[in-house]
Amino acid sequence: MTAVQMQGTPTASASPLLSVRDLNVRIPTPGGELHAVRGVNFDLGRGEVLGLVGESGSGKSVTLRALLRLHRSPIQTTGEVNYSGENGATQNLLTLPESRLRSVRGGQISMIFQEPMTALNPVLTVGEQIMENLREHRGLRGKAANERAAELLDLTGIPSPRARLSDYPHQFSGGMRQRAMIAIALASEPKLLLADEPTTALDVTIQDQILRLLLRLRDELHMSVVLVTHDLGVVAQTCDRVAVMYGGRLMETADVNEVFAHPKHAYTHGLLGSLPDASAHRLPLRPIPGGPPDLRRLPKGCAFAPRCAYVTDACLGDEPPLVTVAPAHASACVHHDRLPDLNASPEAPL
Amino acid sequence: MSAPTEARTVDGQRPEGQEPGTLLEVRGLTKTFPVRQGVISRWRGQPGRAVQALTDVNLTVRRGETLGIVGESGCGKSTLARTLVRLYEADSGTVSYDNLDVLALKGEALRGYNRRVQMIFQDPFSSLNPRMTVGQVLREALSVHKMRPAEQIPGRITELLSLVGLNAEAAARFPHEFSGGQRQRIGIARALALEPECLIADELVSALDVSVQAQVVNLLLELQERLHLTVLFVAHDLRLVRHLSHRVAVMYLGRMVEVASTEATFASPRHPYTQGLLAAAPSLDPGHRTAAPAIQGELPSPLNVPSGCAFRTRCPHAFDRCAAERPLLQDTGFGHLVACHLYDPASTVAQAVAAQAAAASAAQSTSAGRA
Repeated sequence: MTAVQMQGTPTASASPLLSVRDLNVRIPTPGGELHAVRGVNFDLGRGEVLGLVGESGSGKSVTLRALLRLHRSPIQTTGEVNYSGENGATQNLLTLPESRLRSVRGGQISMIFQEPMTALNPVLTVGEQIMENLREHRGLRGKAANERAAELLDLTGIPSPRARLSDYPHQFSGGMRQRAMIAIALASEPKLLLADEPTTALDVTIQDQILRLLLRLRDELHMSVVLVTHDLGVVAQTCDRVAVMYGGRLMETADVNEVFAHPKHAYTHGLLGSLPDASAHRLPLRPIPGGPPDLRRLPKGCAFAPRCAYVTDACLGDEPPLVTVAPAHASACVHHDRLPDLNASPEAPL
Repeated sequence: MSAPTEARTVDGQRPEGQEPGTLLEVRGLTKTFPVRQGVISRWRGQPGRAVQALTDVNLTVRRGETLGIVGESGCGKSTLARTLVRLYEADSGTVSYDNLDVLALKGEALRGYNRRVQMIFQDPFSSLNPRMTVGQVLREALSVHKMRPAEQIPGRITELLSLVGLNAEAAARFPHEFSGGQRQRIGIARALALEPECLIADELVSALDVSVQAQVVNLLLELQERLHLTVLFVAHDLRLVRHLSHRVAVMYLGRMVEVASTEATFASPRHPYTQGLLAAAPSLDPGHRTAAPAIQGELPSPLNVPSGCAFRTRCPHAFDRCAAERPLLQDTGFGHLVACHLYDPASTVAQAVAAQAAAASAAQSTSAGRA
């Protein structure tokens, strides 16, 4: 299976910041091996926001954690995660010695999580948690660290930041905790921010604030972002490029406008088609039948085939690879060129 | 605010008796949850604090309609749903259902009401007893309410399961053997076992994946058509509420801020909170992005609700009257109810600000067409 080059973003220079090749994650379970991530390939440009979108159990969070080697034995992570840091040297994060990985993890690459209450340490003040990162990765101590920590809280939009440094996480609201977590992640001035459903636990008006904050910080600090989410609205509003996951594989990767206007995978097509349309008030929706696959008992051929409206015998042979089907647009769908227009009638046969 | 003259101005209802077509009428409903005080604050003689979950909520539900209730966490939408089925006891106010005084019902009469108005819960994982098979769950509902003689119950269980699109074999299985979407179907079957007139669905599909949500939404639409159900659809997903509801009620910090037809709510929202909420919901159109957040600031604590209008601390149009006086829900024309001083015809300050706000929101709502 060939890797697919992602091009087309204005900020993407010749060499990508992150290049993932044949990433596999296998989780042993009592019911057999769970192959959660199956041969994922993607490139991430500098300054680019890549959305990794999928339903629960699609492997999107497992993929994100594998990038920083956060899975421990007996979970197996194989493949390559090539990271080109500041000095231009490319390192494979999956084979890097633990001591050197530590300077990348939390330093050049930071991560924020869905549940700020469980990710923050409840017995340390927010200031101490930011300064811990400043000390470890920027060598700042004492007054300088304190100043910088207040600056970071201010940057993420927390009012009276100096006073809030001595607060504990429980004294913050949900949205402010997420801001504090972003401040901790940014303390090391990372080149790459990995965000795992950062706004799923938040209200819609707070989600709106946090997403716009992330985009503003991306511009100001020239970071790249990988954003894992299940919310297609969030993807449309924040990402430059989108990678759609299903059953542990990438199904489609493309520019955000392309994905929403001309999806080239039957799964993406079905997902967008199942959303309510403002012009069809109280008419039946067009659901995707069935439910997500069990990763221990994947069907032969395309993982989406059992639920697909356009399935043919061609889908049931070897698993279709992710191939370039249009400029900067890759799809793993056998019928990518025969999918009807999104707004066309639902039952249009192939 | 419970004076009958007030009630007349509020959406034009006659205070005595219900208008034909009205199924459920809520007037001045208030609910607070006292917070347990610590020893120190009691010793210091500090007054007890309480969460203001519902403050003077007025709402009318018409027979056969779907009313969407939206708002952010802590706005009281779930408390309202639970108070309506008497899972919580209200502090004050009235709820009349088909001319029954719901809040005064006891014993057999309350059971009768609960049969007619059924609730479906949000979490399909915790609302079904893990030790009971699906058949036992449905049998319990059928026999407690004496819906069928014992010998007809197995047949009725099969009927109910097929109504929600499950096989008859499902009756012998336990909840953990089903997926989230299937469990939500079981929850619906249990509610339908009692042949209710009104369903209160609290975040019916929020725990489900997008591709499965549509299946359950279709089931709800189909059942409503077939069984002539009235549905209260409590949800935070604006796209779904827009799709399902005939009318929409928007809540903020325990108050009803706007009630209008779905079309009016989404095309020309009047309350500044509704305008902000709609703008904050991520649109599916990547071509339409704005740099500034729709609403600034955090939700105030429900323990310490701002004086006057609860939204004034985040409202771009707030003026001095908003802090002094709580705006009441009033008809601003064509049954479009808004609780905002901007729409008070007597105030000139309000008119100037409202004109400005309307112009801004018109620009917003046209661009947010696919929200």
